[in-house]
Amino acid sequence: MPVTEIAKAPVVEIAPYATAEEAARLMAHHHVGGLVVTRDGELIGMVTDRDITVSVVAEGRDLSTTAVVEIMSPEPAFLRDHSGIMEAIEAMRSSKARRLPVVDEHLHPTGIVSVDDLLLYLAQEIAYLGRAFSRGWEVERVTKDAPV
Amino acid sequence: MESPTTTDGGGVDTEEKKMSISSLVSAQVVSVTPTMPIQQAARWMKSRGVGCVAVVDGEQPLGLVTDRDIALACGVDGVSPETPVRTLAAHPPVTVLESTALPDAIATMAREGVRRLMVTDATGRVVGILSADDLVPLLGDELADLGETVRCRRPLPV
Repeated sequence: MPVTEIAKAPVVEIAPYATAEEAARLMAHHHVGGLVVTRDGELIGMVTDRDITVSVVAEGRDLSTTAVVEIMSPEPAFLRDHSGIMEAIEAMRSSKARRLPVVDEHLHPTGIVSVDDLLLYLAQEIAYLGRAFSRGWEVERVTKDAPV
Repeated sequence: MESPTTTDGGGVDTEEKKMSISSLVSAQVVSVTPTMPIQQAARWMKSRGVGCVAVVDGEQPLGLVTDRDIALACGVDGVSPETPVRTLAAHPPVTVLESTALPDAIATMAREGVRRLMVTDATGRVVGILSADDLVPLLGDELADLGETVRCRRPLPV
């Protein structure tokens, strides 16, 4: 299953010299926690709502004059269109990021995959499997240690 | 400068409590008073590495405030960072008792559309925060164990 099929949140781009205030507005408007920072269409960073809080508000800086490039995570981990679920999980685990941009071969962002997307997808699959178990294999309850 | 308080969430490990969420409640919750300025709450979030603080008025929990709440309040609503953090904890928090059973806690999260719950003891005192993020590893481990029961019984391929 390629990650593009489970990526639900819109990928919202912002320029490196846009302000933290503009970033906050985009995050509110699109109901997202992270934006991809692009230059000439190419991914150069990720900026999150947490970045605004810990790098601007906590430091007493002005949101309207602090540039996104100053608070973003540069050269972020990314996934490709054809990346699979396990690869996405491993990339999130090693980068400790809860959302990763998906990019094409030109480093143009095409989507965003978050831990929530993974959780929702895997939870739905397990729940569906659970329903199949509860309906289709009654005979197993009668026989102890039935072979698989 | 005001400091937040941190409380340990651990519950007594009796047979009853093993079924409840008390052992899953985050061991440390950063609590702040309602009058703490937003900027200071943000500094504590940064230094403690947490995404959320509990706003507590004495024994009374007023709500949870997340890093997202702060970013949007300051960046979109023009709230000054000097404003007391209580203004961001406007809604009554979704709370559960530490004796709550895990399935009920999950159902509460789903019903209320939240990924964190404030957890209180029987007197209403905040003892911790239960986050969906903490439940995923737990449930994942249980499912992995269940998977082992299948894997172990499989004959090895020749």
